[in-house]
Amino acid sequence: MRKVAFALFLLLCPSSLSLQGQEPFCTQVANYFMDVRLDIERQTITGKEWVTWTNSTDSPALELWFHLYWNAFQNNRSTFLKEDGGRGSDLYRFGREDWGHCRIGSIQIIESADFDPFDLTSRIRFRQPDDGNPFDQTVISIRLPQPVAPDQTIDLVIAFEAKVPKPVSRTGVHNQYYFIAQWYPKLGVFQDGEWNCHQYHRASEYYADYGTYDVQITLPSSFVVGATGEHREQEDNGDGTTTHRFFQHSVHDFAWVASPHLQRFTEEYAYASDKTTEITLLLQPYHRKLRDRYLNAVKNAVRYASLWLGDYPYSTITCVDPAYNSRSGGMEYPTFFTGGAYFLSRPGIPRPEAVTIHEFGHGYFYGLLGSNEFEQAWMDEGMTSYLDAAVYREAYGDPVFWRNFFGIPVTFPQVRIPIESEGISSHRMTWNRDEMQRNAWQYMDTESYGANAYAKAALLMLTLRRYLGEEVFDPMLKAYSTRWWWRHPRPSDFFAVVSEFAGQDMSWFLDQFIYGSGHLDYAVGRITNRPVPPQKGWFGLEYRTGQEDRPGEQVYESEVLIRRLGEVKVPVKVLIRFSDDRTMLLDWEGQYRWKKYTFRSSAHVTQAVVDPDFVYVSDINRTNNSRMLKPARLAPWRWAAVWLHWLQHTLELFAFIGS
Amino acid sequence: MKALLNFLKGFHQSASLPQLILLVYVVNILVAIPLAVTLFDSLQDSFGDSQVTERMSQGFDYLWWEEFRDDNEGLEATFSPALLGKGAVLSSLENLIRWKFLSFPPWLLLSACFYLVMRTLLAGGILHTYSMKGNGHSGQELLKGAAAHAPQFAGILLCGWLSWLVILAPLSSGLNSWVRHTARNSYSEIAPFILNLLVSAVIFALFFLIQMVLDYTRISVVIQERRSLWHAFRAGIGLVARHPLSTIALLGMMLLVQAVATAAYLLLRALIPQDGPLGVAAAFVLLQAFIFTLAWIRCWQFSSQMHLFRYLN
Repeated sequence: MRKVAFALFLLLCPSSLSLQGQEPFCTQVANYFMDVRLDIERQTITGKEWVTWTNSTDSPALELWFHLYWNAFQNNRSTFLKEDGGRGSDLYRFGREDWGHCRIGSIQIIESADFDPFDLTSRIRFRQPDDGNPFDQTVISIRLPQPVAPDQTIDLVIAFEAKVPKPVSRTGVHNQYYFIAQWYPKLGVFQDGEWNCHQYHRASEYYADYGTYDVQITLPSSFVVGATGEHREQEDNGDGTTTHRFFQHSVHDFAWVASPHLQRFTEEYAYASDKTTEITLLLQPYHRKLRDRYLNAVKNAVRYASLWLGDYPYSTITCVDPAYNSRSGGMEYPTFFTGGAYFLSRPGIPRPEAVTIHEFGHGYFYGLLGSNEFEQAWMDEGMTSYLDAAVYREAYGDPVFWRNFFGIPVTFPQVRIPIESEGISSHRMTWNRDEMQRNAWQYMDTESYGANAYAKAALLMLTLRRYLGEEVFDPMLKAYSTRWWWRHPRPSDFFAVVSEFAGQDMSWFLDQFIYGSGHLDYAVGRITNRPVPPQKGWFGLEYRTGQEDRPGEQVYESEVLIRRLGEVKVPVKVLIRFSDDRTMLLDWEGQYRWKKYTFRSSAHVTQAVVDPDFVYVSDINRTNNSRMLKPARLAPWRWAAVWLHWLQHTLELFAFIGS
Repeated sequence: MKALLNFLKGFHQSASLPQLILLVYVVNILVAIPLAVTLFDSLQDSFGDSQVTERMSQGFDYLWWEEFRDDNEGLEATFSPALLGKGAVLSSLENLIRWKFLSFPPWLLLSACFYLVMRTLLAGGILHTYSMKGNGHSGQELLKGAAAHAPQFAGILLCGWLSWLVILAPLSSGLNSWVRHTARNSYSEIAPFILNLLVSAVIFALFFLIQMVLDYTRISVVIQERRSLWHAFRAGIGLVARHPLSTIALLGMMLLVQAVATAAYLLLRALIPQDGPLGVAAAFVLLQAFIFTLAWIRCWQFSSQMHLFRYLN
């Protein structure tokens, strides 16, 4: 098989990629044909990749830039591991053989109509565009002997060795479970006349151009393998190894998993009347009883995402149940992702469902739209977080609150977690640390990265849905998605679609969330009701004694103070309820710091609620949004008693043992 | 048989002196109430006059709780929906066995320490009262007993804490780091889960064993009128060493009674709807009955152990 590999490549590339009868969905800018071998003794992946790259921009490319992500794991001075600060890894226990790397043995231009053969190996330069860290070798540049002109294609062959590290982050080997991601020399994105090729950072994911991946992997025959794309064929080499071939066009990455322990389950799923896809679940044997939950979660994700974001276009989906301690859980790659589960997970606890839906959802915002996760992480993470929260609730309802006691999950069915809670807590705790739109590695800390890229952006999406209304938001989101498939949208592109569907320029709204670091908090300041005293004194020429008004017709002057406590200014509705059960819904533009409403009526105000429809889910203090004249006084008694139960029992238990 | 006999004797004696149980219960609630009032104020402040009051009267407002948790630390941080129903019992058990109480807010830790000291003093009085035959079960005698044995009992309490610091804490830490090490190379999460449970069980058993020895040490101080803690401790450990089956069987019975009482309480509590003042009041009364029962079980244990001590000596 391997002998025909190169011949096959020559047929496929360079510029006349036929895709073996398949029509690509988009321009295939960066195409990779790989022939690699996994050596489980040396923990290495060695082989060659043939790359064809087309300059799809209007500027000539004088250099080529590549990511060598695994060099982040070759020593503790890399930018990734410095930023990690030892949190996400067990570096202190790393031995000589545990580190990873990605080394290029040679890189050559293949002869073509536009280029002469040329050995580029000596021109490799490590680059550190983000922080200048000389120990970081995760990016290289190569000066070309001649520029790649617009629309011109260059063909390269690269010999490389990737050393599989112990699990560090998203990749590595653990107990014969190989999760192999970001493992090969991979081109950056040439755009705006320069290479967008960032170093590997702890708090960042990826960005790449679309293309075709045709990958042959040789490894021990006992291994079960899963990867991006279709499993085209496999051939027993007769030496205890098997070569597997995977193929996928119109994607921007390729990842794979291999382990002798994985169990494979495959189902064809029709998610619409004329649409099917093949779902493959690679499951750890000790999670066997979670098989149906995983598969149902994938099906729900495909079904709703197709409905809301456009029909899933690929013919395969591979979901991997990550091995324990492999650090590969909860990650997305084109057509291929990892979930995460716990063997005691009970129905109602959203594991593995939530993470499965989330990672599949990335297949849209990261996979199909190709958002730049280095520079606009929120456009993937935040939108995906919104999607997973919405899909989960549509499919399963609100999850129940649960907690582990002695490692055993215990559910509290009386407490449900509403969608409005998605992300609000981390936003509340970190709102003033950063603006949402930042390079992923330039947030104040990891917490702020999570709060902005995931939580705040998800809150923005839900807020937008409620502000615009489902009838506007849902078609808007679908249009944004399908229009930008395979096109790398930027924030302005999202703004444009939102404004188009809203029928107005929505920058006033989006700017505050995306480029601002203020918080949103509207509150009911106070309610006052004063009986209007009878008229007494001179009123023009008439003297009134105060006795003229008929008894029993008490009139009240009521005042409701609404306050804007945060920096974010949005129009709000205010609901006023009167003692005669009348209600009044008022609009306030929400610009100044406060607004007073006064009423004169025989009924007094009993309740005021600002934003009664809970449009602004990013309001960091929801409790102060309402005020009642007669609140239910039972609540603190009831819950103080619950806490007292715990306290008295704790004291008694301690005393039972301690004295 | 010896254990059962003395278990029944203990029941009889403790039931015949309910005032002692009441005293233990009163100390519990007196320590708990100031903290509960503090939390009550915090809850009331947080609820304010908002619609949350209605939602929290009828059920649990998860969004409000997140706000409350995020905006507060200290005592308020211990309030969580995980304290509902069986969660409260599991939580206090886990806090004890997995040393999570160390992360309690200072006021709670101080109150717990104060409570242990109070209970230590009371234990002297209770054992002294139980040790008296015939009349003399007056409050004065109780105080006399408490004061007379206070130095030794304080010493025993310190021994208990020392045993935690010197034996259980290092053992627990060692076992836990062994589990973590094993977990790193483990094929699945099942083995670490089982190992963690086993470690908890071992620590739990050792904890009880040590406390049982210290209980017999206390009894030795009272009924053998020992001034020397060392001699009392030798008497306590000697008794357990000579009669492991009887002493452990008695302890097992007491733990079983406690487990049954807890299960009964949780079942009854689940039957009470708490969406109205009557329900809340009924739940409170039931809770106090439960705490009273736990206090009774502790007194019952003292009495049974004292009878067993006498029986075996």
